[in-house]
Amino acid sequence: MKGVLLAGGTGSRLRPITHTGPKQLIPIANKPVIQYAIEDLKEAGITEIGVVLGTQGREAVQEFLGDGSDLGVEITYIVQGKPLGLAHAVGCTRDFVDGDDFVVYLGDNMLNEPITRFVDRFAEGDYSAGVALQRVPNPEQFGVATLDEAGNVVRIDEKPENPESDLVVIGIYLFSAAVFDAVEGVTPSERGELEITDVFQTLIDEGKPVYSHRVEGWWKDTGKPEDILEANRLVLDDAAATAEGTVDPGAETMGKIDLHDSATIEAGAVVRGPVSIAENVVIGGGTYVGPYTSIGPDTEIRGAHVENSVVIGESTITAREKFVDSLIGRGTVMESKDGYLPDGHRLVIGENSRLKL
Amino acid sequence: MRIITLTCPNCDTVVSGNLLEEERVMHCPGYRCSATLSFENLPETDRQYILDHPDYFEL
Repeated sequence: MKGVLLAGGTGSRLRPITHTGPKQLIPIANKPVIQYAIEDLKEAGITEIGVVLGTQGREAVQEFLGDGSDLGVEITYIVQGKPLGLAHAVGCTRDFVDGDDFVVYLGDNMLNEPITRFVDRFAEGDYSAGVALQRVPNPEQFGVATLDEAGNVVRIDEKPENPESDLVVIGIYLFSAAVFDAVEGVTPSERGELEITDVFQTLIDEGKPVYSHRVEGWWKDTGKPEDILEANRLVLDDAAATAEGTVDPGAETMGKIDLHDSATIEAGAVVRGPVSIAENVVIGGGTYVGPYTSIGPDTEIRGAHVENSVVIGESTITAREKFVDSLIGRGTVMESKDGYLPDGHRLVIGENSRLKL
Repeated sequence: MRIITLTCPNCDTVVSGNLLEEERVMHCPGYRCSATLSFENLPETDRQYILDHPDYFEL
């Protein structure tokens, strides 16, 4: 069994964060999203991983993953170019897959349960493909699966107006090599993409069984800022406390705190977990870091109130303001405007930024 | 639709044929690979397929 990790896409819903880096490298609890997928594949015994890259953020993903050895896997890059659809991305992996079964994992998706059982059940059967499904309250926004009595998929409807069930396809698929012939049998849709739902339908129409696996734990597609914050909350809820850094006398800490050994919480600061604080972070006096916050490396916070937020890193926050539900990009400086005239906010804001002032 | 790719002989990176057609000649996009890849490295029939179906490779 091999793994294929899809790491293309433009990340348009995460601008301006994705103007300067790929969405798959946005940290969740101080670990890039894509690393969770690699660890999930590795836990399922899959160490030969093809990473499909698009046109944007290619070098950054390669710099992070390298040849995979630092993460205990072997990585082959597959360069798709234009985002011509999930089925086109899958089709590009044919030489890498070389006849094996393989898992396709969307590189911005996260699960809190291992894919091991999904992979094992698929391998035990004689399936052409498999889909991971989850019940959601808003199935009309997803691909909705219809199952037969045996639990195999008989139809997938993309964003139906009147969904027949609340079981939707999430970003993890399993395929046998039979999928490549099915990919060749489909043509681009009206939006110019080779659609993976068309590939599944081709397999089903040819009488090739498609296995379904229900994911009971949480699943997140981290495509929007609010998804990043929610994934951060979910991961921090499950994380262990590893307070290895320095907590000065006079600092107040409570709850689960993942504190890197080079990070410092100074006297007069209050930190309430669950939080994740990365290397070389200083939480200065007068600062409040509230639950469900991740502070990325090389960041200094003094006098601010930060809660339910992700600070990606290399930032300085000294404005005596309250920041909640915020996704703060790398290299951000937020200082006090006190003493500056005329009074008012002074902003340098990137394209597609969103502020509530 | 056929998906045509070229595998770099140096690092095994796989490159889509449509990207090669766009670039014609390119540095291998593999990790720290110094090979040069060309659309001409594809077999004639593959090149012709890509050239005959430009609508398949436009968004």
